[in-house]
Amino acid sequence: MAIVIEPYREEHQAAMQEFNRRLQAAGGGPDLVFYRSSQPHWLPRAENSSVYNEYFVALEGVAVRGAYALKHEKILVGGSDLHSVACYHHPLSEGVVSRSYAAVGGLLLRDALKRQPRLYALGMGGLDRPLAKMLAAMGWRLYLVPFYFRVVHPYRFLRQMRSLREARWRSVLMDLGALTGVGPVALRVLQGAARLRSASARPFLAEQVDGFEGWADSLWLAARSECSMTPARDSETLKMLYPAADKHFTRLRIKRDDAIIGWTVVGERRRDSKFGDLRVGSIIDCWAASGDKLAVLLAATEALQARGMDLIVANHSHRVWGQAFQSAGYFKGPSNFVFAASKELTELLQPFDQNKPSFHITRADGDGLPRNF
Amino acid sequence: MISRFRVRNGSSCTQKSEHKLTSSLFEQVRTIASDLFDVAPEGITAESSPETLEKWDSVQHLSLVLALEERFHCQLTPEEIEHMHNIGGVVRVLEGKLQSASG
Repeated sequence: MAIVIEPYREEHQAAMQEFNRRLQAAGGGPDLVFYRSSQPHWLPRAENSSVYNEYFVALEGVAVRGAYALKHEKILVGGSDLHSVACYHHPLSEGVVSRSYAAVGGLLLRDALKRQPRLYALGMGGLDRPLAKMLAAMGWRLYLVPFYFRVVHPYRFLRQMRSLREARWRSVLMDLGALTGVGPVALRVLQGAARLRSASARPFLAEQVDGFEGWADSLWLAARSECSMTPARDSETLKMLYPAADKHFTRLRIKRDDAIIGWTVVGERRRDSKFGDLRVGSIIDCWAASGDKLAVLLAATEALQARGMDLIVANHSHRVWGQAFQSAGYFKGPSNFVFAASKELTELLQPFDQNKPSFHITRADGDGLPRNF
Repeated sequence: MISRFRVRNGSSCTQKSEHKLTSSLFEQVRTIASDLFDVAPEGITAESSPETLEKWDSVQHLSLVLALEERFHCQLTPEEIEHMHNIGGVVRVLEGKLQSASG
C-alpha cells in the first residue's frame, strides 16, 4: 500500500497513539514519540504568525508510519534581507520498528523539502546520529555549534561526571587535569582567572522583565548587522518564543547608565540522566551589540548562580559571543549540537564558511525550547 | 499508477534486449548495493532487503536512492521509492523507468 504524506489532523490522532506505542515498544527512549495532538501547543499557527509549527503524517491506509514537523520562521541574512525558512524537526519513522519501512525516513525528508526548500535542522545529538547522516547524504551543510560551560560547584560537578563516565565529559575532565585529583582546585583557579578578566567589565544593571516590548526592537535593529544570518529576534517574535505566561524562562533586561544594552533568557534544563543529580542552567538566548555582550553574559551567569545551578551551559555560533563567553569564565567544550542547512538554504548563506562564524544560533532555535525547558 | 519522473541527461542505457537490460541492470544495482551495504557482490541477490542486510537502514536506503538517481540520471518518485522493498524491486523500478525513457 502506498505511503501518503499529508497534514496531521485530529482524525489521525488515534493512529498516532498506536504509532507512538510501537516506537516505545521497539525500545525508543521517552523522546521517541510524536506529538499526540494534531494542534501544536508550542507555536501554533495564528493570524499573522511569523513563527509557527506545522505537523505532517505519513499514512499507509489509516496507519501512521511516520511523521515530522516544520517550524516556519523568518531569518535575516546580510543584516537586511528577511527570508522564510523552516526548521525540520521531530522526524520519526516506522523504520525504527521494522526495516520493511526503511524508505519512510527519506520520504519524510523529501516531502519536507518540497514544501519548503530552505530548511535547517538543529541539535540531533551529533554528526554520527542517523538524522545527521541522512542530511549529509542529501548534500546538506553540517557543522557543530560551539558549546560553552561554566562549573559553579566544582566538587559536585566532578563527582557526578566521574560516576557518569559520559564520553564527552571525560574528555573535558582530562583536559582540565581533573583526573589527577586536583580537579576542584584546578577548576577554581582556571575560572577564577577568567573572573579577574571579567571584573574589568563596566558596571551594569540586570532587571527581570515579564516580556519583550519596543525596547527589544531597538536592540534588534542596532545589533542585527553584526550577524551574517540570524533568526528574527524582534519583539513580536520574542513574545511568541517566550510568552509571558511561561514561567520556565527568566527574561533579563540589562542596562548601563540607564540605557538598555541587551537582553538574555535563562532557564533550568529539565533533569537529564547524563548530568546525574546536577542542576543545570542554560543561557538559552541573548542579544546585544558588540561592546555589551560580556555584560549580558555576566548578568545571565549571576542569575543562574543565584538560582542554585551547579553547571551552566550554552551553545552559540557567533564568534564574538564565543569570545564573550570565555571572558566570562566559560570553557569551550566538545559540542554535539549540529546545525544543518539544506542545499537551497546553504546557497542563500554563501559564502557559507566565511559567514558561519557570525551566524546567530542558540539553544532557542530549532525545537529546543519545549524539549529542554 | 503512472510514475512521474524527470530524465536529466538522457538514459545511460543503449537499446538492448530485455534480458540483457535486466541482467546488466541487476549487475549495476548489485555493485552499488555492495558498496553501500558493505557486502560482497555475491552476497547481494534479488531477495536482499533491509531485513536481510544489516547495514540497509533508513540512512542507507536514502543513500541508495541518491546513488541510483545519480548513476541512472533520473529522479525517483515517492511511489517508486516505496516499491524498492528489495534489490529485485529496485531493478524492476529502474527497468520500467529506463524503458519508458528509451521507448
